[in-house]
Amino acid sequence: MKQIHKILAFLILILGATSCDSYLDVNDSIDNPNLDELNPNQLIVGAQALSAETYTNRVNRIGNWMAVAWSGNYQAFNDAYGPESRYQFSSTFYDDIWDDLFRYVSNFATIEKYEDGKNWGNQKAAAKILKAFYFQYIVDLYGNAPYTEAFDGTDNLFPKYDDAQDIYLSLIDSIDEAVSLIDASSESFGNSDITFNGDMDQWVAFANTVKLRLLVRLILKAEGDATLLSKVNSEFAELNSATFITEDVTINPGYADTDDRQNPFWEVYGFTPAGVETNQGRQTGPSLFAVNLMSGDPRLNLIWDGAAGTEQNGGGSSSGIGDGILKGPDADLPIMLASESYFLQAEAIERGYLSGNAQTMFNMGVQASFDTLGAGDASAYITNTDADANLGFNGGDALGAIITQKWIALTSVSGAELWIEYNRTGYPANLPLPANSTDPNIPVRLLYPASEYSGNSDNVISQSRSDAFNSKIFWDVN
Amino acid sequence: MKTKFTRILILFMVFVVQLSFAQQKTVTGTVTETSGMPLPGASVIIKGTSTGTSTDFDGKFTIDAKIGQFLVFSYVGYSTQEVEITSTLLNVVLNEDAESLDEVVVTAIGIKRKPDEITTANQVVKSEELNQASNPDAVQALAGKVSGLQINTTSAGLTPNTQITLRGNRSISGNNAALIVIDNIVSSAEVLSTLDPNTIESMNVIKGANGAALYGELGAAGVIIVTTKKGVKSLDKFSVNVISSATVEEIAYLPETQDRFGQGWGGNIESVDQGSWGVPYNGILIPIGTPDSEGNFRYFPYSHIEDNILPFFNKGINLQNSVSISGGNLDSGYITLSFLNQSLKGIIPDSRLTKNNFSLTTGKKLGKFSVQGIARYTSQKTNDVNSIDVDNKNEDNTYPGISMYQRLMNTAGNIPVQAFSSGDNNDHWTIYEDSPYWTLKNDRRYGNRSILDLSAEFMYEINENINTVLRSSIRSTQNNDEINRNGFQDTFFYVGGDRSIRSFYQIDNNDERFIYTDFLVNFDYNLNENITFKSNVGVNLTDRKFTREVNGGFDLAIPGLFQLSNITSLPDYWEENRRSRTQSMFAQLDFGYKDYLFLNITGRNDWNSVLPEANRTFFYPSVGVAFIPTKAIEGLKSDILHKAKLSASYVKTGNATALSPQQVPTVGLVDTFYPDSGLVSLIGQGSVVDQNVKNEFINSFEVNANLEFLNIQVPRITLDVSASISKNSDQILNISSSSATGFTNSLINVGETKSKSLEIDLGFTPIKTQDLELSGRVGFSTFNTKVEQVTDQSNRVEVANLGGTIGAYAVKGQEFPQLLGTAYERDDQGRVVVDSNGNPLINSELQVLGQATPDFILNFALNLNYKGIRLAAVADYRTGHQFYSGIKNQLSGQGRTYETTFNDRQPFIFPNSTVEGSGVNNTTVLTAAGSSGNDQALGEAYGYYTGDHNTIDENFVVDATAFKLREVSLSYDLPAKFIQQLKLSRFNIGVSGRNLLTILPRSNFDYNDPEFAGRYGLAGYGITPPTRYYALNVNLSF
Repeated sequence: MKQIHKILAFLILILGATSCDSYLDVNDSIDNPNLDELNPNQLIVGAQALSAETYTNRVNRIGNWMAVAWSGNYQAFNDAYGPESRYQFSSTFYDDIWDDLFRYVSNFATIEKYEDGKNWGNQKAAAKILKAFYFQYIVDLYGNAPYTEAFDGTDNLFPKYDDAQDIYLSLIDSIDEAVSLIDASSESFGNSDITFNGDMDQWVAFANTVKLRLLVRLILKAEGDATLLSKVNSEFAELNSATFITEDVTINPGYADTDDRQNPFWEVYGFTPAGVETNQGRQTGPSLFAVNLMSGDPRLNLIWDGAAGTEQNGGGSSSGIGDGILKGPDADLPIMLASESYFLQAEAIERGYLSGNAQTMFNMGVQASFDTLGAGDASAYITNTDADANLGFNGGDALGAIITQKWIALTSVSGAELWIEYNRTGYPANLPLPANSTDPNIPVRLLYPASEYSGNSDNVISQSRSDAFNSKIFWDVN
Repeated sequence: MKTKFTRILILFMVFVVQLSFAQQKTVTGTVTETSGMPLPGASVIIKGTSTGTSTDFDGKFTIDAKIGQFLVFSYVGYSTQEVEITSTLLNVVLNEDAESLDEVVVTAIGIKRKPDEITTANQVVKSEELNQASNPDAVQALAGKVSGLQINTTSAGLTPNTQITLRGNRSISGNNAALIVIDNIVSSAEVLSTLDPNTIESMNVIKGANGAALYGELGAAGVIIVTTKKGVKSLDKFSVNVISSATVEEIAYLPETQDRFGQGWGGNIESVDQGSWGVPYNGILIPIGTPDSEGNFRYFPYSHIEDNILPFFNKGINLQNSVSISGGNLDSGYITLSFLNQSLKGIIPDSRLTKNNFSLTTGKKLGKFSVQGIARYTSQKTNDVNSIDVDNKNEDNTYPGISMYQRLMNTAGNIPVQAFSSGDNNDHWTIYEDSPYWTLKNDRRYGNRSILDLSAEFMYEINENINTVLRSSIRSTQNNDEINRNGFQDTFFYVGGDRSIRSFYQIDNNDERFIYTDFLVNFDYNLNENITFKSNVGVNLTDRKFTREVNGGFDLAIPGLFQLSNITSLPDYWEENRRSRTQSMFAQLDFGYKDYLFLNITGRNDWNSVLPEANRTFFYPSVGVAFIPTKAIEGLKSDILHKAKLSASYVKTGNATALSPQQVPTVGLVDTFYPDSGLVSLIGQGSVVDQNVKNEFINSFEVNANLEFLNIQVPRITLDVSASISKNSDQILNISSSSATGFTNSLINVGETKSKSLEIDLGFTPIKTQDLELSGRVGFSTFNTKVEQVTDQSNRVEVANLGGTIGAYAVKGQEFPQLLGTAYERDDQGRVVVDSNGNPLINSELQVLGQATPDFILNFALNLNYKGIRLAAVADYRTGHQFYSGIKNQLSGQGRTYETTFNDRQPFIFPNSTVEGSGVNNTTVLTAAGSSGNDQALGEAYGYYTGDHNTIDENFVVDATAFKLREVSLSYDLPAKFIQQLKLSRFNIGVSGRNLLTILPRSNFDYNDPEFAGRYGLAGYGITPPTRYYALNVNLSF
């Protein structure tokens, strides 16, 4: 039995020798750097590109459909846009908007938190502005959402929901913070600013325009809420001397006509690198409402490739997407058009919150839209439609004309604005429901996604399909 | 550290060599039975060691041992004897004994035990039963033969996939597959599948977590211990064993489809459509598809052809030949050399597999040292149609590339597919999908796999009570796969969309290297005349390294030249490297009191590299006891109750199998694909791992009873019962987290499940005479895992999906796994709510649609032996579970299911429905108002089925009940007097059939074999339908 002791002692010796940690230290990845090893310049390209991809392909798409700008080409696809046509709202309907926006915006939050002793003020400013830009859509499409407890990874797996209006006010504050972070001594962007190429004046103008949009959205709500109104008034006062964007805000990380590198809108609605038209492109066409509204408008044949529209959930053949929108597989991708900036200013002036001339801004907005689409000089169109009840500034309803012209200008680019602004203002007037629809009105929101019911069920607000038609977003006092 | 380890080991060896001093003697003798007939092949082992030999044809043996040691003599069907060596000549007479019919069983870490000593539930499958139907795949050959064991063959084709599950899914996210151990080395089902099944001697299936206490985390879901044949035969001559088999494979069944409406679209005959939405069959000659090469349309009657796609397939033929030569014994040195060649032609035309397997097993004893080594090499080549369409032409995903079988199944019932077999994609019955015949010719996958497995075992006897064993193995698996696809230019896309296909080439090389080392010290003492003590103490090291490189791209400059340099698109390339290591220390203590009470205690500590540094180590113990009342209590044993054994055990096991190597430290990055502009375009990936993640623990308790009754020559009735409960806590779950965290998934310790299992095996031998024996077994098994907790703030987590809304989930308070998907909106009376147009509404939340685990499984086995003729059959029946049929969903969208002919495709009142808001039964509003605005009734039916109906997952969840007759075999051993004239020692000829009969419930309509749905109840499309096999095999030895 003496030997047993020796052997046991020996086994322990062996294990002692091998269990020194170096044998097990093989868990570091050689394939993949860590997220926290990337500096803001290395992270901000992907964050801009992917957020914009979700924006143009999903946020844009659902907005265009719900605001009846788009319809289906039922000749090519019998059940084109089936779930959209039938308003199949559920926790899985367009749930990728929530999931992807949060995921991509979290990269901006990572940049905001990055610390390595250097001054990344400009990058953090850009991240804050873009975070506000995209987060506004989370609130506009879903209402209450996690904000103050969001983006903490496993440190907080069950973030509570914040009040939608509170988030709006926080976003306004965060834009002010962003502008104050801009610093001439900040680390350079190098070539990683694929939006403004490091031009911080343009970032300031963009920040002001995003803030203007947040404030304009709040106006009608604030007019029934004195506390909110005083906040809104003081913020507008700051904007009176501000600069706003005068050119389309676009990104281009290096789009090219090869696999996985095409402009993302083109990739889905345009043509493959082999030149084959995508099925999404083939099934998409203008609504009958859109072609009627734009009858005689030179932009119609640029937004679309013809004037054939269909009734949603109807039948027949339609035109396709035009080359004013599909500019090429390597074209810059717009995320906010100059025309939107002018129409927002026009509305704020018209409602008395900014100083200036609303009609001038209205005209500049229409001209900017013509410029974006390559439609030339807009003055003849503006004159011809000046007294039009829907389209003309002097047709009797200037506010309606501003929103309706914005509806036309932002079609297929910022489609969500069409839907959101319709719900906020009721314009364009008389948007039709899809054929055979039994629903009471155009939906007012998206429903919370399945991932929240799976991952955050104590906090998420329980919903059913009817909420899509009657649970309005807080600014919707129309 | 490895070098340090080796040095210490050498030192240790030197140290133990010096301890040995007792004198070796050569002991010889003869082993006979009571009548005096010699027993050839009887086992002779020095007690307390694994050193041994076996007797030659004359019952003679020679072994080197020491005076005073004990020799253990055993032979199947005879009682084992221990004899002390008092001289160098030892003649032994063994008594026949039904009790010892069970041989010594190889258990964890290579420890051999008598069945009585085992404290946990296990079942042994021997070579004969395993190979009775000549299944070329040892994994599939096990199906239906062990209660509590589910072998799911989840696909057909050249290399079918299998899932091995013991007692159901116990872990939500971790490993639920049983561990495979081959010749004491941890291996994989993949390797087992490549082994020649005829070289397997036995498989010992350890069912619970219990037997796995010594294998660490890999064994947490049960262990299958495979022992291959070792060539310990006669000294002076080689024995040669030749086995040849020929197997024919054919389609067992195809989904049943409707036989009333043919090719068409929206209620019209449309001769180039892929759907079956035409008018009712009328028998009129119509043109079908595109014109032939001469520009002429082909005319066929518009009427149903039963199983019209069957001519596409071939009969498969599998030829398998193996030769093994063995001779020698451990003392003189033994060798077994075997070679297997398999040549398979699959049921898909032009699909071939060739496999060659060489194995060499050898060993020799030199004094106190013995050395054994195994070398196996398998090379397998496959040449097959590429099953998955990875073509990039549908990047927007509205028309995803679909598999060849899927396209075939879509084909309308009036189309004779063989008339369009030219292989030109422009010569096809539809312009909306690619021709399966084109795919066959132009989209190929070539696989080359080689597995090299080398292992060695060194044993040194320190003295009669102590020996040490060092086992080490290296396994290298290399896969080289290529995809070669030719391009295609579509010339017929007037309305159908351009079907042009880009040429594509991809190389996928991966390489896995696994090193496994055990060092054991084994003790064996008789503490006094009643108490035995055995112990095994050891360390184990594993090292797994995986590398993979993928290169490929589109648009070959020179068509047909599959070369990376010939790619003109941007190449797509990536690599993957993974590395993990574990080390463990374990000890096992066994006490035996007389021959009826046994106690087993184990403990194991693991260190695992995949865990965070602070949580790397974990310990887990087990304790088990076995009691044989019929031996302990005088007078209890009778002819009625021949034997009773009771055992119980408690086991704790730890595992971290839900974690992948390199997963913890990496909040990885995703390339956003714009490197051309010189930008770093990475973002954080969508999933995150808790940096404090720790291992899971499973606590399980098991009780077993083994009873034998009515001993008339043999026990005529045996009853084995095993019940277990287990709790799996701190499960590492990849939960779908709130996206607001910034991550769509996070891997955290949360889940808790409780599992119960019960297995009852009833064996019976109603007839046993000299010439005739009839025996059988019925096994009942049930297992149930209930989810106690998912996370603090959520009640469910998705564990698997098919890409759509249907998925398998763990749902708190429910059995695991549950199928959840979209369902009809129902009112409180269960009526389906329809809108005022009669269209059913979809519930806005996912609903529970079924459970993936059967309520129970019945296994049946029957054996009949009559004068060398053996008839055996294996069958099983599973019920109480459901699965999602991807095929049904697809067929429904194409108008191929019976359901789409409901009410002659005329608008109908949805059964048991209520119009939204009405509160009363719907008796007026008709369904099937199409989305298309088509005013024809048939067109509206088309719109209804392709629209709403197809988006409701509930419509495609099908009863998974199945009865399967898995194997029937008939074999005949030629009588000795004939084969002696042929100078043979054995000649056996057999015929067998596998998967001969499957009975499915009516609601399944043969859509999918429910087994294809796997452990999560999700069945997509495979590459082929289920098949059945007929085999003829000849086995001769000389």
